[in-house]
Amino acid sequence: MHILVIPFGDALGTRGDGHGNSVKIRAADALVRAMKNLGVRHLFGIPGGSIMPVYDALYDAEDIKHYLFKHEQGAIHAADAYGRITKKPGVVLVTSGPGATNLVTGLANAYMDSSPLVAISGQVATPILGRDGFQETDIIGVTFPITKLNMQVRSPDDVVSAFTTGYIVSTEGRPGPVLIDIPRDVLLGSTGSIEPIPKIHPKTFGGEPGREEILKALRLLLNAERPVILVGGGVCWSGAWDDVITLAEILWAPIVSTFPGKNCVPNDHPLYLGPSGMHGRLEADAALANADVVLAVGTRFSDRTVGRFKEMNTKAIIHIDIDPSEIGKNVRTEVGIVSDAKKALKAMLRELPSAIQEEYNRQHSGRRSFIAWLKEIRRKYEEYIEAKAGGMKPFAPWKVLKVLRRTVPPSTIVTTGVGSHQMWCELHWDVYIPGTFITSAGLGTMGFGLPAALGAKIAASNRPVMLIDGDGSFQMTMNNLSLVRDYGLPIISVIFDNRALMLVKQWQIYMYSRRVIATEFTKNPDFVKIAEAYGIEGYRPSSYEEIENIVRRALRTDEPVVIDIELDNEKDIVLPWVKPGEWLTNAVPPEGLEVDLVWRG
Amino acid sequence: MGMDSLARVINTIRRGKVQVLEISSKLGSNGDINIAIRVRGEESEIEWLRKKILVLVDVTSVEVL
Repeated sequence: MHILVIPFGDALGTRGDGHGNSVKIRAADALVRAMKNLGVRHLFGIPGGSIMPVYDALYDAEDIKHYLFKHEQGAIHAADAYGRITKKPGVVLVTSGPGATNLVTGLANAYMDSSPLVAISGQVATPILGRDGFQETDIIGVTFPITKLNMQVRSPDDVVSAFTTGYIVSTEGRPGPVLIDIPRDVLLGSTGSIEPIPKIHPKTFGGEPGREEILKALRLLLNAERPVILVGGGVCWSGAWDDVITLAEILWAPIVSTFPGKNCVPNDHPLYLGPSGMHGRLEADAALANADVVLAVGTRFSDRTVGRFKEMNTKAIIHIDIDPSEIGKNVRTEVGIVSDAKKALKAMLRELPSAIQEEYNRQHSGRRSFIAWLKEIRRKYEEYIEAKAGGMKPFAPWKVLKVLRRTVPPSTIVTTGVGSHQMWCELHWDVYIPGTFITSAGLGTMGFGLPAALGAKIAASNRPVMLIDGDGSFQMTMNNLSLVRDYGLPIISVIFDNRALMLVKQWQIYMYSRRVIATEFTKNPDFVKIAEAYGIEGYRPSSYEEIENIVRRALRTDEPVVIDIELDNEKDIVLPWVKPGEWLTNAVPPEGLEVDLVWRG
Repeated sequence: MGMDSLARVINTIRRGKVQVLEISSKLGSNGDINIAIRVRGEESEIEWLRKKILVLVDVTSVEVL
């Protein structure tokens, strides 16, 4: 266990007047000063009565830029994406009551995707606490299960230490969201001394992995006939993609990923087959389903990735994760290594030359035929969809993605909403540079994409940012378009417009005997006009070439744009698809494509 | 932090697939809280619970008797 040493004095930035006398300042001012000293340069939020002291303190804080959102959900999703790009917590400021409760979805989203952020909510003054005051909500009680840590500060002297603790805890070990609730009178109170928050023990599990575990894992991998590496989001946080690639190349092991793991390995690497699972690639499903040994790195083994746990438990699983509670949670592990992904993979690479090289060489040729078979599945599928694209009017969604991919630079950050467009991205968006694909994977939060794109642009203003959204998802948070012009955030917004909650409709078609209800929109707003209302150019292209031209122009002029891509909502069905609770080899392929996902040697 | 730490643990237990038979907690003079929980359930579920409680930021140790 690692006990954190918190730089309380540094965080405040002052411990006296230089003559041994303590200087008292307003707690809200001390908080803002602590933010500055910790390197916070951007804040996301909406002011209100209880948080006003902090806003007042920000009045003179020229080093910190505040982004005013129209709804707290937008602010927290932006902070979430900001944290994923910068690897530092995004900081959110909201008021009490509805301001705080509007954070709930964003906190849960960040919690599920292990994203670092610190949310500060104002609270009613302490004499009113518990008296059902105006805009009082027990936000601590509300957010226990969806925060890594939450705390209510009751003394001005605890404000800075609470924030500093929360800031560090949110990135320590497995990242996650922290909420700090501060009553208005506490923010207005004076502080001169900084008291540590008692009984907080941030801890990082798993320093250097044990040599015995590493050797055992290597023996399993070297003796395997069909080893497969499953990459999860933890690889990104750890920055371990080079190590994954090196290990895969040495072992000649195919790489598959979870959906967030797609962001953690260059998708154009020859050994990367794509994400497996509910809306994964057929070749990735086949690889994972037919593997005899699985090296899983930084993943929680979601049902969404593996379909069914029963069959997974027939494999020898080596599981590396920084969170000990993930080891053995969903699948039985042969070797569990509690460690940072990079540390564990580096240790494996160090030990590899001394491991049983001879045994590995013996197996090598078998692995090549396994990979060749998986590549053949890919070839069949790609050929099939290429042939089918012409029949989808006006656009085939996957072809739109291919056009976009070849038009925007590799460093472009892409965010998505949630729905069928997102699943098309899972299947067909190639992430060339790890860390450039931001999506709501765990919670599946519709409306995440647009505010996340804003947060990404704030974090990386020199890189193009493109939102790929669905019409249903976009409409949940499209008020965030106002920030594009307010703050000069030129994002490219592409809307896959099928005038339906298409993924839900797909379930109704396949699992509820086509009883389609409450998933088709009778009439959409005109997204081109919506864009224009926010001072952004909007387009409704009629050809792939036109899409390419619009995007090229937006990139060249560094101007925002909204592109409404109309899709046929009868044909926009995302296949292949592993139905909930099904095993990977039972993936439903697109109609007319015949493919056997069981390896027969 | 006392009651909040306790609530965090209770929230974790709520999600466990175990039958809770007894919970008691004692607040020490140094601010530490000792929580004793008697549960019935499969070993794997108890292990899930142990690990989930252990990773909570304000928990120092978990012992299964």
